[in-house]
Amino acid sequence: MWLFRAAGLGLIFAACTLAGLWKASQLSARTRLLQLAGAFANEIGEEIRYSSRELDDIYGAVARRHGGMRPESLLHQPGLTRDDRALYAAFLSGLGGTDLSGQLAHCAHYAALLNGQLEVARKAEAEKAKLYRMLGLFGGLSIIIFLI
Amino acid sequence: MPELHECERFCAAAALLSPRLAAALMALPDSAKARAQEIRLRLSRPAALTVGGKSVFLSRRGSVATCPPADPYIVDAEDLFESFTRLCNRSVYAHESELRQGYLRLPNGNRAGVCGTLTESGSIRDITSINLRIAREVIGCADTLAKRYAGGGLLIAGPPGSGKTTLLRDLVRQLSDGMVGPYRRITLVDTRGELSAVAPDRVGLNTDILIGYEKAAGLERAVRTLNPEVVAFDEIGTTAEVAAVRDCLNAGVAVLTTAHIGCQADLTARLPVRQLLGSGAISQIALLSPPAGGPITIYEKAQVESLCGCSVRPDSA
Repeated sequence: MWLFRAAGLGLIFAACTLAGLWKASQLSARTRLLQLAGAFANEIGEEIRYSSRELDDIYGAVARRHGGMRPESLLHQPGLTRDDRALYAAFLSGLGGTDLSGQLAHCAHYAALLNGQLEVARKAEAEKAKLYRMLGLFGGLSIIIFLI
Repeated sequence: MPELHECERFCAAAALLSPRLAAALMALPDSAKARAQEIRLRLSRPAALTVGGKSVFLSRRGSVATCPPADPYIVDAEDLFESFTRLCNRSVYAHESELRQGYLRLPNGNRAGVCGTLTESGSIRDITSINLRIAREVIGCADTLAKRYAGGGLLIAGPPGSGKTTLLRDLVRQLSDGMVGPYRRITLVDTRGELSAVAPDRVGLNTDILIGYEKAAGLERAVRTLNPEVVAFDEIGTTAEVAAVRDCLNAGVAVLTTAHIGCQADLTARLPVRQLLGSGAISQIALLSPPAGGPITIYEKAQVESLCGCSVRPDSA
């Protein structure tokens, strides 16, 4: 009987700890994806400036530099908030529709905006990641103690 | 590259336009698709095609008529914008240099002329019309001309739509492939990319292609670096190009080119053509009559000399 009880308590502890770890990893995933989005914005801008190739070719070239990940696939990655996705989607939808100077201005503008989001995400990760991990750990311990 | 039949060429071109418009064009009978030379889109006016040199108008049901039908397909702003974006392959910036000259280079050798408002930076906004020209390849159309080619400079002249470019393309292929004599080293100066893009694997075994170069600069580069026996380019029209042809002649390189003329009198009335004939670089003229595929009148050296009142230099190729 006590074996089942111990297993149950262990599962509760593990669940709470994992929840805390998962929440912390979401913050670092957001930071990583926003960093990638900013890199895509900069690299696409550079490719447009220097090669003037068509967008599909540019996406392919940029993807090759990032392990095959195409810029547009970033929208479907888990970890970005709704605002992040909307911003990045606005960046992608504005590509290709104007002349060279318009495109360069567009890329620079959205690179700056994505960089702003990245700073917010970094700050949140620095402030809250450890907190979530500790909350998960001690939350699990607290529940165990309460149940014992 | 798979060979495209005439209807397929039309469908491939129509597929580049807005989906709604493409659907109406795809509904046309095969006879219209095979003979259409251009698809003309004008804002708030019926969509039209040029067939056999004449304008016909598109209906919403996918038929054509020689006058605007009761249910015409009226091109709206969304059609034009979507067509323009798709023609640019959603990369307007990548076609800026072409747009400054008022055209877009498309797959399969097609070309779209674009009209709109010129901006200060030289690009175009507020597109008001698009003329999508469908490139055609006619294997063997230059058989007669190739057999009679004497090895020197040749001018193919005729009104718009008479098949000059198609003839030049086939002539280059035949001369390069040695079909009527030796394998000639030919450099093709293809400024707009429409000569070679129609069938890139059928420009000739011995043909080098310079794409995107201005004609005069391309001729100079060809003579300087590629050691051609013949240089070919489409539509001579400026005195700079005539000067470049003269330089080719001095280098012992024969020139094949085309010129827009309305009638035979234009051979001496149009300044660049007159200058070209006066340079002595042209020893044969092929005069075309519309529509494309019509009879070709070939003037030999003596006739060219009497036409322009000058001497043609001895054949150099």
